[in-house]
Amino acid sequence: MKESRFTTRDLAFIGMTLALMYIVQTITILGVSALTPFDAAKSIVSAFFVSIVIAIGLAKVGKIGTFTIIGIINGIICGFILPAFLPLLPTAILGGLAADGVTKMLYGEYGSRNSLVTACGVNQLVMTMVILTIPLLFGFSTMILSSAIIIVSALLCGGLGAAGGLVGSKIVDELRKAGAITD
Amino acid sequence: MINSEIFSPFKGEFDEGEISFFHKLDPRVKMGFVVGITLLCAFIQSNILLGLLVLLVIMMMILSNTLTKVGKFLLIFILFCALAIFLTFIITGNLLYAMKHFIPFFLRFFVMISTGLLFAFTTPPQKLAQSLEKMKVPTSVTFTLSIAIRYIPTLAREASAIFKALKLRGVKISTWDFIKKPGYIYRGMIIPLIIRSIKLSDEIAIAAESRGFCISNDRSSLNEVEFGMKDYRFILLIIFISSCFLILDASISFKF
Repeated sequence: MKESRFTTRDLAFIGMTLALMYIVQTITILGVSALTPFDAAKSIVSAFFVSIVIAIGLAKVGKIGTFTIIGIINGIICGFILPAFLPLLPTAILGGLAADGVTKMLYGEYGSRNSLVTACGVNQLVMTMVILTIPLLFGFSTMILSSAIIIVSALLCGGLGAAGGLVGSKIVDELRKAGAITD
Repeated sequence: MINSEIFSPFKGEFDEGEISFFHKLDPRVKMGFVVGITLLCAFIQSNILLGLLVLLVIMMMILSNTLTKVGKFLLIFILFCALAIFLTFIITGNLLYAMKHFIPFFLRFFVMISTGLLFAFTTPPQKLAQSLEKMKVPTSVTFTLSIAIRYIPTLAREASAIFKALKLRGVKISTWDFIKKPGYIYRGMIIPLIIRSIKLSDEIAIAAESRGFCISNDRSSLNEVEFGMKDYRFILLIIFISSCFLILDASISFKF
């Protein structure tokens, strides 16, 4: 098991992962926003691509707490800078905490393919569930966004997140073989 | 391929001419303002008061010289609103019904997104990280946040350069190819970008440690963020306006 304290190198790599993740997230979400008013579509489209990047970051750092840091910072960026939508702050933090919690209970640390797949899946599931529930609290029409749509979208995002985690772990394997990532 | 204007709030450089009173406020005050306005939106039920709040935020954007920049992002939101109302109108055949269902929701979201963007376009990202540190947020978070914010435009440029390099080598990737041949994107774009970010993160870590950076130590800054009289005045003004809105909302029962 890796030492649990985060080193400067770990934090620097989490920062770069977040920057990369943000670029991927912005491009996919902006593309979908311009095409559809269906709110859940944004989460569904970005889930897969974002999870690939997150899985690479998790595999390199490997420590429990990485997803929470990613969640907090992604929440601060999305809540206060762009798209500057404050409810994204608690959503991202909850997603990160849930992923870290489940991985800690099941696997102890990040590194194995299963741990990456599970963490990415859980994170997307929780995030989608929370972010799609918030509009209903602010009076969004239940005709457009019903609880059934929320559950189906969350499950779909969870599945796509897990698939992204799987692709990410395959990329990590290749990068390890090439010597770009070392344990 | 990647329009750098999308990431403009992350540059954090302001021209002398565009600095307003809102730019000079402490980021902690502005963060409180964003949180406060979001909560106020949730409490207010009257559509007229929500409309007034929209006008207030637009006025603030004009006073802080950010209306043009924020407007570009708000256009996407307005397009989304128009599409939602149009689709509901198509489904139900009743425009009044569609508007009645969506207008309160969109007014609330307009105010929330506008105040957030107002904050983003008037606060340098580094000052945001400094303010969080003053609020006792752990160094591991503030340091990572600084790196993420600093390198978003850099990595966007790197991605653009990699894409151009692919074009130079004769690989022409159309939008359809992104779906049809994901291997192109994976081999040509994602792998080089990840390797570049690994190298960059190693360089940052070495540079930070060689300058004495330590996660457990308190950091000092050349330009400290401090509360001033203008911050207290702004807080009082916002509390007064919010109270007026809440009292009016409780006493007025008219709705749109």
